[in-house]
Amino acid sequence: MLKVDGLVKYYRKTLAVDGISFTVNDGEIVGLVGPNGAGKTTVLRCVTGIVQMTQGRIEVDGVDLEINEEAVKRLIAFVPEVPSPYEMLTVYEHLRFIAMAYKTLGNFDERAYELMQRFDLYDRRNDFVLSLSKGMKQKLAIACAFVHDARAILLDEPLIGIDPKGAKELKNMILDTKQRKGSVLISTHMLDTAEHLCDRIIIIQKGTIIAEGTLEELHQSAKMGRDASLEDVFLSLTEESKVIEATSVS
Amino acid sequence: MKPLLYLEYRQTINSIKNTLRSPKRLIPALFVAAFAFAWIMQTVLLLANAPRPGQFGWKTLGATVHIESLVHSGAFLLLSFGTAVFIFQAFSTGSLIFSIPHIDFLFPTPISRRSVLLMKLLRDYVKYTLWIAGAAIFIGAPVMQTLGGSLYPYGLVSIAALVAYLLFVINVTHTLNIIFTFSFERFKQLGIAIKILLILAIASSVVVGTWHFASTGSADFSLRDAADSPVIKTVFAPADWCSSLILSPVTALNAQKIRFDKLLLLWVLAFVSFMALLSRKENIYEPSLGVSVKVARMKQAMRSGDATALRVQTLQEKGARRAKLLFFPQFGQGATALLWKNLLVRYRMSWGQLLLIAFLPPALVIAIQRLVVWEELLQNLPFILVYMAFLLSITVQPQVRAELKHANILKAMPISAWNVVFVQVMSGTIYLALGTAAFAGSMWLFVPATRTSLLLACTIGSIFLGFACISATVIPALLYPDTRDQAQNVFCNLLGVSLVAVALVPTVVLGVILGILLRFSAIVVVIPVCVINAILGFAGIGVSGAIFRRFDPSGD
Repeated sequence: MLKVDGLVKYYRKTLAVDGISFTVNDGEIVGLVGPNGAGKTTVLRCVTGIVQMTQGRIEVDGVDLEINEEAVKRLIAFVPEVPSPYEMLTVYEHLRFIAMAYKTLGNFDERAYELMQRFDLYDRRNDFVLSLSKGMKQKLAIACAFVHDARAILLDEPLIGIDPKGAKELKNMILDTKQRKGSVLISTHMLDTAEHLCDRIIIIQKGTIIAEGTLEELHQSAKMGRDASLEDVFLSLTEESKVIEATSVS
Repeated sequence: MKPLLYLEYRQTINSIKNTLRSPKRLIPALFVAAFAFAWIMQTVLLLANAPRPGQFGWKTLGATVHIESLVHSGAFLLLSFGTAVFIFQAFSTGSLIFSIPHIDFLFPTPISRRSVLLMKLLRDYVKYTLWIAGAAIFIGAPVMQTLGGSLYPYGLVSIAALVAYLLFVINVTHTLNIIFTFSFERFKQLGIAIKILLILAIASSVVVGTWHFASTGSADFSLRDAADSPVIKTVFAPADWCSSLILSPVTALNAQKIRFDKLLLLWVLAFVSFMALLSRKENIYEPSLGVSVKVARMKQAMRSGDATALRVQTLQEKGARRAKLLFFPQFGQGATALLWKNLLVRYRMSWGQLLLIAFLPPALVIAIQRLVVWEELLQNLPFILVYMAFLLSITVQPQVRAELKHANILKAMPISAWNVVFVQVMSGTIYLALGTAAFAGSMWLFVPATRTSLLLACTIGSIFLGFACISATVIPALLYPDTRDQAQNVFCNLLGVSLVAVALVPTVVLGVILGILLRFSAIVVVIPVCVINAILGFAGIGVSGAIFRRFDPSGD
């Protein structure tokens, strides 16, 4: 279970995340959606320990990030947006390096074989990463996230630039993680993917949560009918939030 | 540490394999290696044949003592100013730079930040040591040979001192940057105090030096006085120790004692600052994010040799959003509109260069007019325009290659290939003509001796010559468009310079035959020169047009 409580993040004087709290339960897939600059990537970077939160508490399976960062990182896997893998490693070496970093070399070869097969990387296993296309690099990044058995998987726009087969495999792996009672947090702009894949959606804007819940609950928040898509709900809620903000300012 | 060592090892081995497997990487690498080997061998021979300190004594001891003192002052000021810049930047920009793959794949792993930092620092330290040692061997050995001394063994002291000082400054910069990223508000007063101290130290030195120069007019002694200012001497004491140790081979030559205690102190400072940096508990990843992305983009642009990409990067960093300065009205349709776009973009991207075009010519011409006393030489000054046309035409090539990155847009336009190339050549020629006219105008204004028909002939002739040369440089740009490929960059430059040299031949031949041998007037000579260059220019455009017609935009 991933628990974020009262997360605040300042970059020097700029407020990027303003007191966000949410939980991703075991066996749950949660979508983090919001317009550009809403603070989605900052939330993911705080959870993965890449940036230091200014205030708040982050826990994965009850382990506090501030107290035992390395243990928390061992429980997490992260797929960055538009990843840049190490170009001078081969595909196999890249996966091996990640396995070494997470100290999961035990059954690495079988795991690597399975992942490379699933993401069409097996034939390219001895090729340098620099020779891969953008889509293949994205697949490699996703494969890296599944090298170790993470309890929480964080994906930042994972479906950008990936082919339909890769996208299908990724969705299957996310569903596998859900079945294994892992927690999945997906930050995305692809609202229909979030609508079909996620159990719950969190909509953030300017560093705060403006709505949270299942699609039905979001329909209620936006005062829209059940036929409304997540896109309609999202646009309605984010516009409404802008109007409220403008009114309070004036 | 094991995964990090694995990463370093595999990347190094794979880089070597990648170079060996690809001829286009291997050939430039062999060239560089052969050059370095030749230089090192030369240096070794210099070292072997050089007299040992004290072997012959020094014939003009007074002269070297003076040089030593001057170099010491210069090196001290350079180190102090450099250190101040480094430390100043630590307050605003990140100083720890990681690669993007590190950010994406290493930072989220459970490898401890301290291990990542340690590995990064060790890697950097090795890199800096090699740079300094390389510079000492490549520059120091010939200098010492000239002075009749040897770089060995006291050159090692210089290297050790400079490495220790650099490590100390870098460690302090990183530490300050980490502290002020996370405790910006808490230590605000301390930050201001440090900045004031640095400014005071530098200002005191500048004031003392300037005052001394104003009152005595002696540059040597002003430099020494600037370096001897007690404030800068105190604030940058380690820089002072380092600068005196850098000159150890010369110090030994002058039979003076080398201060090994200062060397020890520098290494103590380097070690203590290293431990202080490693002991920081803050998240070192955060301050490195922004600067690492920025540096990665800059490196990519530099590696590709793309001046336009570099300029775009700089504008992005400055947060440029809207066009500034003069309004540039739109004109034309089709190819003419493309010419307008090219002129506008060049103006916006390089208005610094345009300012240079405006101010450099009068400044240069005034300097020449003051320094050159021979009237005959001044009369022939307009010939410099021909040389300028040759030089400026070479600078057009990178701009054409940058433009080819948008070849898919250009090719999709309803403009003929010939016209597209013609526009590229013309936009370069228009700027070259502006530069030539500015130079010619400056000559006419400030050097009365140039007010002859030669000036007019050279101005017109240079513009036509520039047109021919630019047209020649476009051909290799189209043949080797990929700026990311080093081999293509080398071939493109070589072929470009060669073709420009070829384009220059008819002008030189006609000039010599008609102007010198047959003694025709300058105006008469320039007419066939313009005609031949126009023919050459259009011929080049014809060839380039044919290449562009078959150009594959997906190739780059």
